[in-house]
Amino acid sequence: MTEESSFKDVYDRHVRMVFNLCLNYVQNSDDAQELTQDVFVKVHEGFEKFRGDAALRTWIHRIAINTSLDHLKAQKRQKRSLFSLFRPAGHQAEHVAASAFDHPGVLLENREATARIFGHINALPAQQKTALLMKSMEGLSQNEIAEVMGVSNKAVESLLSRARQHMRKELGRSEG
Amino acid sequence: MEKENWSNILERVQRVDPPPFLFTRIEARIATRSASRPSTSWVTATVLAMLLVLVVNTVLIVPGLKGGGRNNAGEGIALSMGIQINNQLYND
Repeated sequence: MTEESSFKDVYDRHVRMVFNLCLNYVQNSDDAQELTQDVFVKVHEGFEKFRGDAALRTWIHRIAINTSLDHLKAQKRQKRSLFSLFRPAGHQAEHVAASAFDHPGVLLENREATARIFGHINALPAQQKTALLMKSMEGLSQNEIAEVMGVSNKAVESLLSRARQHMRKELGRSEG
Repeated sequence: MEKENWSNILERVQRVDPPPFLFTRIEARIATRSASRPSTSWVTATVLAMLLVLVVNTVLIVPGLKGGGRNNAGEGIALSMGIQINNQLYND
């Protein structure tokens, strides 16, 4: 099997996972497409180093997470500098979340509620956000999350607990 | 919205298929990147040329510095043209 055909094979097996993972981070179809391309370009660059299916999947997961987080960081920096000129700081997150939300996997009737939930997820620290998305959206087990994030099982448990606590608090506040 | 209901709403988010032709775009990006990257032979040639310039400069400059840093050639030219090379205004 040539290198190109095996890369195509890796792409076929993982593209759905990568695209949906990026989509859950950025909640925007165009950005998710761009990020998926970035991820597979990186996969292609480091492709020869990897042998063994489990390691490859974990590796691709990590690349997708890091690429998405880097993109969000850059986006946040850019928006912060733009907003700081015209608006007070408090309104930024909500405005950004509401305007950029374009998740094709969300049904129309759930759109408003889901956008609000993602708005709170976006406010979580990067590690809590990753753990929560892996668990709630990707359906990974605690062990798998620990492997992907390169942390202990206990740490994942703690991250998930803090993330859920934050969500309960924020959603309770927006209810009341 | 109930406090725990958010996780149910998240579970209802459907997985979507990536758009078609994404692989073609990725292939094009990979091709562009490898085309814009300079070849190893060009990089090696450039590095060797720069090293050569550095060595030649070092060889020419270091002996001059060891000679006390005086500009003997400049002094010679000034003397041959009858120009004074010190700040003495009056000749005794």
